[in-house]
Amino acid sequence: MNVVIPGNADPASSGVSAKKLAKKRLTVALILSAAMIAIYFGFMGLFAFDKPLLGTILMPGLSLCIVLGPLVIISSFALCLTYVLWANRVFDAGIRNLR
Amino acid sequence: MGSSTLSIGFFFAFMALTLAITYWAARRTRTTEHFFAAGGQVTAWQNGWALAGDFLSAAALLGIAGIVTSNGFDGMIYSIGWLVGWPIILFLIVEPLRNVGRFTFADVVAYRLRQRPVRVAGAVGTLAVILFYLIAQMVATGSLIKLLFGLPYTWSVVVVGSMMLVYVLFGGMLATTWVQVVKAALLMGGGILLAILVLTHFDMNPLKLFAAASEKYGTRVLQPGSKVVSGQWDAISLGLGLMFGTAAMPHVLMRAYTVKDAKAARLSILYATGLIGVFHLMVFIIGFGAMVLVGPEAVAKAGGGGNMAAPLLALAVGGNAFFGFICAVAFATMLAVVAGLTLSGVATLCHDVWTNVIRNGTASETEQLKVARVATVMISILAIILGIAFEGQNVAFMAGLAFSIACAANFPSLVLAITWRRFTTPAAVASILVGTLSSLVLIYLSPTIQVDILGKPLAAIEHQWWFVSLRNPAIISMPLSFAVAILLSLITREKNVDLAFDEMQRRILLGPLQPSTNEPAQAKSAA
Repeated sequence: MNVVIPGNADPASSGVSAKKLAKKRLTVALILSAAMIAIYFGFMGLFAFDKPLLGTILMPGLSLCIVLGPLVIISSFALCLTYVLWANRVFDAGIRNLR
Repeated sequence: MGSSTLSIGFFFAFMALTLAITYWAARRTRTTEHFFAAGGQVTAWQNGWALAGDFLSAAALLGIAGIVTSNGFDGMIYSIGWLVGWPIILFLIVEPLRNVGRFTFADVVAYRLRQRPVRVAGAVGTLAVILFYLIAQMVATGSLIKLLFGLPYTWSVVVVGSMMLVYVLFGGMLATTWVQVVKAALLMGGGILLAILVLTHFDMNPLKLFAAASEKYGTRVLQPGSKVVSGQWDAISLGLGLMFGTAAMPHVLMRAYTVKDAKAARLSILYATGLIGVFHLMVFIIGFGAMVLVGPEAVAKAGGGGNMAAPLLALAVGGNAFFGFICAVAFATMLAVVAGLTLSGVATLCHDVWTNVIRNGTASETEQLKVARVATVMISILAIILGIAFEGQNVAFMAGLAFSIACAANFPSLVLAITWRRFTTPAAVASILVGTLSSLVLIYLSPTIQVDILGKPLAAIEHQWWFVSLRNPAIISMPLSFAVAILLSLITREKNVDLAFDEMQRRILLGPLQPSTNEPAQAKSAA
């Protein structure tokens, strides 16, 4: 994890690839943030503007909001996991190459 | 309360354990790096637990369980809002924060801007958040301990204030981290056990629990209502404040500095998100359990505005011993949260205000540690005094206000400083101040203060020109703060902007060390 591979790329090209890597990370971060914001405010939008729909009873003991609420929680974790897996595999490897 | 001997036994066991931790940590706290960041030697897994411990207040267990018990589904709106900010911290904030900053979030905002004005503004935003959150916590703590243990209010506040003073003063971040870890383990363990005990009454099937609840109290408990959050745009505004406020809470952000590198910081946020998510799902079960097995009437009769739902449920499903345990867990929870808040306030006063503004970045280690300890005593005494002064007042709005200020004052400047080349000093200062002030003014003009606190009749003020119907200001104050930041950035210029921004981006990517160094991020604490 902590092993640093001594890089021998010349500074100019490492500057370019550093910028590329930073841009890639930002793109991934922005896409995942947008997904989280869409999921959460999609849910809150229903909560604010369409309570009857969210209150649809699907079966005894289960309504739509009781399905969707925990799903928002689970998808938060799933998005975090996606980012961490990507960062650990792709991003960290890119950083090691830069050094 | 027949079980109070037991709960007091648990309570003393927790005190003894945390004081032993503090004694151990005190001998390892020699530098500011130790005092504020535990020497950067906390592991990702420990930090994940500590983050959960820092963030889950008594409101997360007692408060939400109480809301669910009396209103059903709506309690989950808060649970979800407190969770969805964590992915935002992970994607946008934690790695740049860890790689660029040292102790506070103002480190990052001020990094390539003019230090003094940005740090002063950052301190205003941070201290406002901490002050309001700390008052809300102290008042809730005082009345809850009175309810749970029968200790008089004033003494409860003094005991909690003194314990947090001892943790922070002697043990710094290392002691605070371990207090958070112990507390989080107790809270998760207690919460999961309680939820499982509830489910044993329903064949381990949550749907049977919800069905029993709707049979008894109608399907409305499974449906969204409008008692907890009224108003359509208010719900959206609350959501904004919870999501982006969580993502900019100073005591949460500060924990990014306690681990050794950005990768560990990233992992610790993932762990914290998982722990907090599981906990909130458990609390939902606990709330419905209390509704069916204890009953909202019995919970309301016990006093404390619904806060007794979880402890009474523990009594019903696990007997006296479990009741005592849950009370002690609630106490540990309150204590740990105020300790974390205090430490982040101290970091701002010492590192931002004293070292970087008053002393222009030239204070010696000894001097900084001295200032940190004086600041710890000051904040603790202030918290105790304010806690006592606000006894019996309705301060629940202050927690929401803290999130709104964090969302409108801290979040925009932090994100823009990290991502936008054109961002300038005047823009940072104005956006933090506008975010703070607009949140304060909007909440003052809203029914939260005008009707609930000042007691004016709604009919008399709702047609005044100044009246703001929103109880949650984030939907106005956050865009306002962004707008001010963008506008001022476009009309002002920062010196050497390209050079400074590129250098910062490089540091965000590679961390504080030179890229050519062969020694990985270690031994930094030896400095």
